[in-house]
Amino acid sequence: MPTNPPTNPNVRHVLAALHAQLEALGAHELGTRAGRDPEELHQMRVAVRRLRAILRAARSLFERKWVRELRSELDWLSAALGRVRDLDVARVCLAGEVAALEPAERGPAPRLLRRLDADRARARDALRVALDSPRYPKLLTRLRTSMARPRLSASDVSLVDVAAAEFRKLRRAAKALPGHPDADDLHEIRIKVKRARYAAELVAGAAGQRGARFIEQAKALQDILGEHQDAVVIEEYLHENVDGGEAAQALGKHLLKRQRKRRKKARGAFFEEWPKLERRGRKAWSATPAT
Amino acid sequence: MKILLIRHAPAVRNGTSGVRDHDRPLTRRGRVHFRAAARGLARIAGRPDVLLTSPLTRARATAEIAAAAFRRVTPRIEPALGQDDVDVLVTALKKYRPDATVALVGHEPTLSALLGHLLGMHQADDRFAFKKGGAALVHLPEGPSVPGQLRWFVKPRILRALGSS
Repeated sequence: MPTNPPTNPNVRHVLAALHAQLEALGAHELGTRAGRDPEELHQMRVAVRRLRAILRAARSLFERKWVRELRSELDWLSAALGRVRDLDVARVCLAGEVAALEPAERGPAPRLLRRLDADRARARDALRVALDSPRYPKLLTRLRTSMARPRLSASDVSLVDVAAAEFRKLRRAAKALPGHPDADDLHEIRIKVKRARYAAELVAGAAGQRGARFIEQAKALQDILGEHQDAVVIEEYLHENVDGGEAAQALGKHLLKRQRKRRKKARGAFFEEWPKLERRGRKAWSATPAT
Repeated sequence: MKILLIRHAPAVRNGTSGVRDHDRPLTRRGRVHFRAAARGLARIAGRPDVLLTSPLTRARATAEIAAAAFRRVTPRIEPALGQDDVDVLVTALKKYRPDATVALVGHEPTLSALLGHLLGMHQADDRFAFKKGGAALVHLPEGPSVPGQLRWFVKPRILRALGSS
């Protein structure tokens, strides 16, 4: 196990990226705990997801077990944050939808919003328990020590190749999309866009202007697909919590319709914006040989 | 009076093409799971004197599965279970004998609102979100107008475990 600072520039680069995300995670922890601004939790979650994504993109530089253990702990934290985030998003959206209704049309809506608040409070409690558990500081310590003494693998891969490979996977999946992709299809694409983007960000310097343009468009698509996913999550919540009684049915139907519309719009936007990402990806990664 | 509240088992999605919301049937998985849960329910709740169901297909199908597990009880449609008005439901419950056990198969968020109401916890309905196929038992020694006691509130997973052991 190497104890000296790694000399491999790829490794150094990845470690710097991990450090930056670890700092971001720490910077948003207090705000997340305070719970006043949902953006804090969102940013903390983004940092966790990015840590995970970077580890994934650079996995062949490190020992497999080292990466796997870190990623599985990050998954745990991400899941606890994700549950709160989903409900935060649902709350903002549904409160807006309900406010737009005439009071006579609201029916059981106030009850639904109260339930959403109660569910959120519970998810927040669970998150607090997770952050106060020994597992959380242990995870932070582990991340820090792991970065100070990374377990390197024997192989050295070019990060540009990794980014190109992630893009190729995305492209293949997008090509295989049916004409009317369902929520799962698009969710899968969303994950692949994310991976391709984060892998590209690891080599942003080397990929130059073309890389930057790819990253920019990947971000736009990620936002579109995020919109789609938010609608899916809200639909899920509605299916689970509103399902009977005449007024409840009318409300559920209306709210579901709005989410379906939102999904449809996002789906349209995806197909409109996808060719541009494909083009930019081809330009950014064309120099690398296909594997 | 004892009230057994049951939420219908999982049905096909609202918005499934060709199926009106009113007619949504249970999914296959929903039926199979609830059959096991109903056995658990029969074990811990005993046979109700009356089994009332909302008029919606998914509730009626759930009630029939429950009736088969309880034995010797036939589901009866109670239109109030298909509305969202808790007061109407409470009024409907008053028709039954003070020593009766009344089972209800209904929907969210009405069921949890009713449960909150029966326990005298107004505006606390959000605490009792029923899972599909979940159930709760309330004892109301002085009838449905006076707050009673919650005996249990059980997720379908637990009911299934009880039904299979």
